[in-house]
Amino acid sequence: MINLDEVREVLRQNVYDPEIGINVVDLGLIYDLQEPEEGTLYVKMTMTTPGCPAHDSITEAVEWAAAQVFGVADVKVDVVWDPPWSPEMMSEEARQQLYW
Amino acid sequence: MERAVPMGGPGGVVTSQSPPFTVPMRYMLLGMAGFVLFGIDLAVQSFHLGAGGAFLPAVVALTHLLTLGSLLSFIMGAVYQLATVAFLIPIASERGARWNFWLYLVAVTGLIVSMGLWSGPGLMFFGTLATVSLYVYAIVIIVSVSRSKVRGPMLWFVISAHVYLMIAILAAWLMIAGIAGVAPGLGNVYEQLLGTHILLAVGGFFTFLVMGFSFKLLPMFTLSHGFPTWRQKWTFGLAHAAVCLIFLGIWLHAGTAPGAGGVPSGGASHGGLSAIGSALEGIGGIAGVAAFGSQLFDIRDIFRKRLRKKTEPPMRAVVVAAVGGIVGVLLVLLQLAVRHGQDGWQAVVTFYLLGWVVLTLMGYAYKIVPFLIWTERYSAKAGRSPASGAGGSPGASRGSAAGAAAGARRNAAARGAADAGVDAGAKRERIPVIADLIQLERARPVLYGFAAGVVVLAASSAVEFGIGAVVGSLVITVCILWFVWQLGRVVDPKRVAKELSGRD
Repeated sequence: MINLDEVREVLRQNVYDPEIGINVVDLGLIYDLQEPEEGTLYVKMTMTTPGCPAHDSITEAVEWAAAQVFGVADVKVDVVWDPPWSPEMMSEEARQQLYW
Repeated sequence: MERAVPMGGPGGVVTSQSPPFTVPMRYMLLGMAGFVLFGIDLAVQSFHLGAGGAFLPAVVALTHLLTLGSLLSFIMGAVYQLATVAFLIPIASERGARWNFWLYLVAVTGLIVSMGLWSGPGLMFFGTLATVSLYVYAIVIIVSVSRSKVRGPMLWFVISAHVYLMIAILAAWLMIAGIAGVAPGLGNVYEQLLGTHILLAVGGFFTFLVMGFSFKLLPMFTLSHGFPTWRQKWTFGLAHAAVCLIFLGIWLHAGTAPGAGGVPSGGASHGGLSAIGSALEGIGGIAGVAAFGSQLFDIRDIFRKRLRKKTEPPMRAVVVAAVGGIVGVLLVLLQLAVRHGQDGWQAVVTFYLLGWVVLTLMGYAYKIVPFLIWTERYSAKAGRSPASGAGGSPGASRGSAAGAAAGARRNAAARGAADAGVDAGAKRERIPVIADLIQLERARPVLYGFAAGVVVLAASSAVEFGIGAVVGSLVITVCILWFVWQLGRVVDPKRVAKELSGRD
């Protein structure tokens, strides 16, 4: 059984948008975390913009970071564009960091 | 998009679209080296610039040291990288892009030396090589982006830019053929070829490329969402109208002008065709002002919708440069009205090229180069240890949760490392974010100093104020060296040399 809260916290601590300097969780890029079958983690996420140059870097980082959580044997990352990312998805801390 | 297994590895994440790091980086490094040489040579030649020496061989070589040796080289590297990002396509011929670098290096080096010596055979030989090399580049990019499913003004701008580049190069090659005696009849239209070359290279290629990619880069770097885009097609249409009308105007002067030795010819009031040509040039100039005005409204809207409210100096410089662009076109109109001869055109082209094209590229370079370096050196490690931003960023100070997560990482570290063949010790390395590689606030004096130097140099050139031209040039030189030093610290020449060696 994967502790999804722990996954979220690991992503918050480890995976940053390198250009913006804010982690993917506070940026609101992680839409959903599920464990569809034992040991398999499904991550539904997005990017701040289609064609983000850090796209591959961030998805690789999410895969690696999530794979470090106890109980995770396999990670599937699904990058979606619907719904599109919007600033309202950011946490209060992220908004403050962007002076928004 | 779906992946099941963490990939990555040494040398950065290689995506399915992006070319290998060595392709864009070689061109960019050549561009930065060329920029240093240009800065030094500018200081040396500054006495000529204040004395109307635009057509001296040394000054022609200096100009092309900037355009070919620095700008085009840097742009080729950036476009090979950005095209894959902006249009979501791979480069049509990565091998062609890679080997074309060496052809370009030889061709441009020989061509610039030949210009300085004003050697006809040298100009012909290396000019032909440069033409081949630039056509290879333009065709690779046009073929690449034409395959993209991303449609719209950005694509139109990029394709148009490269078509203009090819015509500008053809004009240059024809001029060289005339100079070298291969096609002596072309001497009759030398001024028109020169005007076409400058117009299509500076107003066509550089301007269209910068405008087109700005529609992608500015929102990306300011994190802007929800801005209107309907005006972009108007900007595109007006910019084309400007270039085409001025082009027609230049050629309607053929055979009627007495030969003032400037860019679009002075003394054009003789004859009906020449009068029409002058009118078209004027209307074209107005269309150019409207194009830049439209672009400025777009930039305003992008900035209004930006999420990064604290705007970084390089992005401010891009805005200043866009204002410089519209001022540059207004100066073209003024020059057409007062016909201030060669000095006037020298000042206008200097201001437009340095104040709009170069300043914009310097602003973007502060963002693009560190990103490329980060991707090469750190992206493969991202997600495997805390990012350095974790110390002061959202989510960083959640003590107990962080401790739990760290524990979980420790539990899985051995498995993760074994699976990936990664040294577990690397997991404890703190991964920088891009902001850790370069302090962008330090770009402010460089960029604004550069802009001030451009104003002083251009104004001094217009009135042949020698001391002013020297002072302006020296300020520009200092800022260029400062700029390259700042980016050089990010690149780390020794390290990048190792990264580039043996990877082609």
